[in-house]
Amino acid sequence: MGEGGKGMAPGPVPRTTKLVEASGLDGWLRAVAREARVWAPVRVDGRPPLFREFRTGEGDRLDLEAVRTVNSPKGALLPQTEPLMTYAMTKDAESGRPSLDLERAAPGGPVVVFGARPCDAAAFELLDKVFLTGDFVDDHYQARRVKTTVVAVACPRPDEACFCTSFGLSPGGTRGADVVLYGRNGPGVPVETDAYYAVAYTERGEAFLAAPAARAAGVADVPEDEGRRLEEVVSAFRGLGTPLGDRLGRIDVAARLDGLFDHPYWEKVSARCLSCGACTFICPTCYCFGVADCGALGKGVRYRYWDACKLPHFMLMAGGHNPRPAKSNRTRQRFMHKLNYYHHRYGEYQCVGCGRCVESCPVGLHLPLVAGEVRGLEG
Amino acid sequence: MAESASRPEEARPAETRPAEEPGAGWEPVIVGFLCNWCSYAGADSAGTARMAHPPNVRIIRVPCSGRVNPRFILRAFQRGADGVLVSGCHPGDCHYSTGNYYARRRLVLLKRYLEYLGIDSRRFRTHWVSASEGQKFAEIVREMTAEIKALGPGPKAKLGDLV
Amino acid sequence: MPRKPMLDIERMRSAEEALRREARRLLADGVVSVFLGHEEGWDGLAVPSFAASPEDAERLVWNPLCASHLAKYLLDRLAGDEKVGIAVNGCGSLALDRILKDRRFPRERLYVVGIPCTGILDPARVADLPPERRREVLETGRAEAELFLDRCSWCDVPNPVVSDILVGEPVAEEPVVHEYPRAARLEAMSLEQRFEHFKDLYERCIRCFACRNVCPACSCRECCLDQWEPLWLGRATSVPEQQMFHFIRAFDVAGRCIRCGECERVCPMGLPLMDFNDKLLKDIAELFGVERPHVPADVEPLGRFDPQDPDFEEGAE
Repeated sequence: MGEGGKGMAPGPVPRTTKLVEASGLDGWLRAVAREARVWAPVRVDGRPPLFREFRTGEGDRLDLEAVRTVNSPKGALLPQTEPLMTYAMTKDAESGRPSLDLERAAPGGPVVVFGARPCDAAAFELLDKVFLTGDFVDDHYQARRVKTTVVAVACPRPDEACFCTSFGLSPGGTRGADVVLYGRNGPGVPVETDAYYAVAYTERGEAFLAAPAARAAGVADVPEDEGRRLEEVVSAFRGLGTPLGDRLGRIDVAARLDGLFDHPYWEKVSARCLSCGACTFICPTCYCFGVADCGALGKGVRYRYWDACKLPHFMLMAGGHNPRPAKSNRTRQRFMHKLNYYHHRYGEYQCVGCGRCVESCPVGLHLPLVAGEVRGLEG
Repeated sequence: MAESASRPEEARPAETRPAEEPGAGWEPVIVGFLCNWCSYAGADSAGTARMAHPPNVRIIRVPCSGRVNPRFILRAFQRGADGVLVSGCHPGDCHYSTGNYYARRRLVLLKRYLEYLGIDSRRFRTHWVSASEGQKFAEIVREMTAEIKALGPGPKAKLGDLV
Repeated sequence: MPRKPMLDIERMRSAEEALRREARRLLADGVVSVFLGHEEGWDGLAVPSFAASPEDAERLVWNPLCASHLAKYLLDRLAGDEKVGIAVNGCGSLALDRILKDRRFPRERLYVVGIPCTGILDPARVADLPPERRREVLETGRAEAELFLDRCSWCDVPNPVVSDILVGEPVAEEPVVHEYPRAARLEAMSLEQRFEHFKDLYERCIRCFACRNVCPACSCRECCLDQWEPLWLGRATSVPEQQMFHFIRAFDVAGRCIRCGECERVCPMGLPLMDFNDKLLKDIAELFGVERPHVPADVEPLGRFDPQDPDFEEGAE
């Protein structure tokens, strides 16, 4: 934590710095897509920008101008539907004895997440804590994660829903990113920029910038006389504030929430909740999932799928008991998880301030609202 | 899922097994929802009268055409049916008086809606077949099989797998 | 002809005053134990409000951003026998009427405050305006037709169809010819183009159920989409399962849909969900002659039949 804002610690040390023309990005992406599955912010025909697997042949256009895509890039690491294994009942030809063949689903090849905002890149590290640390390592997640390169794009103009700085992140942050692209003209100016500094912070990022695809796309060395400008630009991005973050200040409510489990606030704030899963599904850090089978005629697939604590059936048990029958229970769970339980477990908050819940919740019930309101609660 | 491994693959006659790849020898699979009181008996009388018709229809007996939830039909297509047939008692003859009238409203609406969703509505047919109309049932199956054969494989290929 | 909606801010302000007064009275006299209205939420957004005391009633607002319908929230209050107050404008009353016609909430437990309506703006469209223009629109009511909710363009029910008391004088009602240009546009495409159009929608859908949860016609005690046994809908988000999800969502409300478009408005992915509902509305009008399918009838079009209906065997075409 604590990479942005005034008096910030110096950021991680760049390993390599390159320069790439903005006009070269699309070609770069397409070249990368020949060897890896590329996830990127795309726009098709003016429909809302989406973070999804880039389809080189289908009119997908890279969109680095949108402050945020409507969904987050988490699907690159945690697909909404992910086959875990296949099963088949077979009968031995001679003995006639049935047997069950199980086959683990293949994890797939390399993945490049290209053009994620720093908040979304940081969110990958929060997912890592859940899936890769502690007593259980999720090998499906891990298999994908070790082959994933994250290329972030510094945020030139955070908007009114942005509050990454409330969690110590910054529009120029490097957390979770192998490479960060910084618009050469710095933040604040119109989003379009003629070129980007591509700074690698990890070995993987370094390799990505040195790969043939990068060279072919015109990723070149930074001219020697631009060293100072580069430093200024990076530092300007890192020091950039966020409109909502400035309003909220630092969010640090874990201790405050310790005593609020039974507070009537949850009943009150949740009354207008639609019990949909919009906020959890578009969130870059929500990771809850369920497992189900789909099969016919003795064979099938076991898969996992995103589930959400906000959906009424999330906790429904086989015997029919639902431990969180009320909206207030579920709303409390979501915010306590992000702002209290996760903090107790991993020492930080499970939110990167991307602002998607602010934008997406149809009834204005979102994390910054709750984080702000619990500060003032008595009890 | 709803299906269980009740019927092993090899129990089905080879000539009606859906071919993996369309081409020579491809036979369409038609799922037929037939009402218990008229159309199922109609199919039966086609059989007892030894009327030959193509074996492409897999019959699912339902109590009434009104029992056929439109989503059964979509699911059949998704699971690989190349055509779906719903058949019930003639208007006025419903065992439950009015079930087929309700079905008619729903399925007429559905037929248009399938076309709207991008599923060729010629693949979905609705008929009235009484218990004595074995001849008519055989005729419908012949006609429908020929039409679906001409149309080629159903929408499963473009929809993809359920997972 | 689509209707040209016009905001009357003065009328809204006086309705707001009267609404507060009425809610305060109902709560103070113990007529109702809670009053469902709107209040100002985050960044000026109007959000559903649940006033439980006369003091709470002071927070109620009635302004051009009060887009949410409140009737669906009644289902949260099924338990008990407390009386509930609710504010509805014209289309809000259609949502309420839907819940009542589907017998999902007892009329006798309601006290309905009706608000004759001159139009409501789409909060998302207003939020996209530059701040200056936004303020001007909300203060003067001078808003382009594009800023209104889609449902305002065909509204022929500006006055509540259910109410115990009206705040404000009824608005003049104009007949509207109901047209479905979006469905017609899609009908004109080829089968494959339509399939691709909807496939794109299926692939974007994150299946958060916001569309279902906000829908006043989706009020089953237990939704088939949530059931495991039988498993009507697999949990995978593949194209066929998404197709099934949207098929069930729209077809199961066919004939009961009030065309409020709330499903589309709350969709976080901005999907054109009314493309489905409009087609069914259009066909129900064409096939069964139900010209105002949005106005809940005692028996909905698919819950009845006519022996002279278009016939089965000849198909619908």
